[in-house]
Amino acid sequence: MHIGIVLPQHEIGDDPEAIRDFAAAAEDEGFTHIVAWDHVVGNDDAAGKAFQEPFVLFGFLAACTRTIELVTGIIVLPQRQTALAAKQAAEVDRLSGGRLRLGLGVGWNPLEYEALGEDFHTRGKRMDAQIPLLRALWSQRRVNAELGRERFADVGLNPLAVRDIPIWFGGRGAAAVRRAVAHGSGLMLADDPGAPDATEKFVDVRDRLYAAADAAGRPRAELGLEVWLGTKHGDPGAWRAGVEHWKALGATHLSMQTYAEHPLTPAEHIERVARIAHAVVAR
Amino acid sequence: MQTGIILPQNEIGDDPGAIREFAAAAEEAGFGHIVAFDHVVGRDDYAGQPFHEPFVLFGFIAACTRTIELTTGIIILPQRQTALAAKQAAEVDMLSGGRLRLGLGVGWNPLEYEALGEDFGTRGKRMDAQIPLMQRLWTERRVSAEIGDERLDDVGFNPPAIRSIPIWIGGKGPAAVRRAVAYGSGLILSGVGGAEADDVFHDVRARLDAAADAAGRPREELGIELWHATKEGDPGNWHAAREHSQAIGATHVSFQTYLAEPISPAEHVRRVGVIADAVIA
Repeated sequence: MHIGIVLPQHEIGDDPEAIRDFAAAAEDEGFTHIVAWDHVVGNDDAAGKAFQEPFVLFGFLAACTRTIELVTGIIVLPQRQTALAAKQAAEVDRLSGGRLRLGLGVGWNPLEYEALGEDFHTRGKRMDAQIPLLRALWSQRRVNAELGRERFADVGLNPLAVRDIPIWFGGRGAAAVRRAVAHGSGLMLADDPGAPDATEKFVDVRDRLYAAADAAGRPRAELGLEVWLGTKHGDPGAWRAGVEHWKALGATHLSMQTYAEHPLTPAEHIERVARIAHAVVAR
Repeated sequence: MQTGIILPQNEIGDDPGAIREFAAAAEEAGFGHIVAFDHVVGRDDYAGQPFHEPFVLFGFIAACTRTIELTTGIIILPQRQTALAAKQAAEVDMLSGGRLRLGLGVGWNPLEYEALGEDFGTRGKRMDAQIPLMQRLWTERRVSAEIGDERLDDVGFNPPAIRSIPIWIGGKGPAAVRRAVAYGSGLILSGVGGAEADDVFHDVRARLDAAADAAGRPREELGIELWHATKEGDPGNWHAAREHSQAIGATHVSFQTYLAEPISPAEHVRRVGVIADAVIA
């Protein structure tokens, strides 16, 4: 079981020392990974909350840490240029010594797509074409491909990626399950695990993932399921019970959030890293 | 005059430890800035040589250093999405405590533009629209604007940029001079060398000063950066090159560590100290 932590981007602020201290605390306390979310622009919606840019942030965290896995949860891929996303993911992976786990999703926010000049409505189709192109760019010196306006005429990245970066998909729908089995290493579920129907929804997506894996001839063990757990409510005993609950259902990765019921300072978030670790990380 | 060093991207290799050591050595030796170039894809041309991605790289170097300025020399802006470039530049600037100097240029390589889905033929016009949009995204809470397919509908960054990041323009033609005076803090002159270098510099300086005067900007607000190689000559020559650059009015110089033959990352790190001994007072 991999137990990681979610960077509290809405409250960690813009002091790089706090970000460094949070990541160092997460690594010291034995968390296996740190998750960062992605929104480029927003207005008064969820995308308008504070977000760091994950690729640049992970360049920074690569230098502040030694072993912790860096997880995007998720990058809204179809709104980005494929070649630049591939180049930046490869750069993070190289600078971190192969510690990137690339969570990808299609997002929900037309405003971001419009601001970035990409089409919101065909985002799923674009994602399906982008994934194999990312892989080709990471591994082949010269690529010929055409994806909408993006035309690759016998060009490539230099240096190539240090490895085939593991790709996870955000979401629980049929397309996410299909992509995970066809191209990926797992699914990230953003559902609220505290909701009354959370267990039922998890079992549903788990069973669909297993069925799709079986049909494709992929071992179930190759495909992970990640759940993000809040710690706003309950005590360390309840957090530990939550971890056991999701583990028993088949979650392979859990990511703990440090948010409380009221806003916290960066220092308080860092303090909660240790508190949560003591409850849920085996030592 | 500020003296910096150019990250030898074509030879520094894949090892993050070497990049960390190079950046730390540059800072310890007293260089004022470190420059990184930008190419996203390439073929058998110059763009096909190894290049790190500057924004992610500078996130990394921000964590490895404390004071050295991080300079892109340059980012090919028109082939990138404006809002993402602005967000990533702001992220580098925040993580480095305000140490980004953003060199921007239009590039020369249609293959890269095509791979990124942008139009090479109209890159100058696009750049003219992108720079003020970036500056608005760094300073305004909500922005409405339209550049080609990019339609910003009352959206903005959170967190806001910590400041309006200084922009330098790569190039020496009329468009580069015009952009530097309209939006920027200076010009980065690449590939200026040889016997005609002084004439080129004086011509650019004169045109930059004239444009500044016409726009009512103080001339001293606008710098000019020159790059020097150290493949040839000895430390005395490099020192003389620096002195000469200062004498003719350069405000920034950046030295390369390449030799005539390829050298190892460790040798590049060692040359940082050798060059610093020659050119930093």
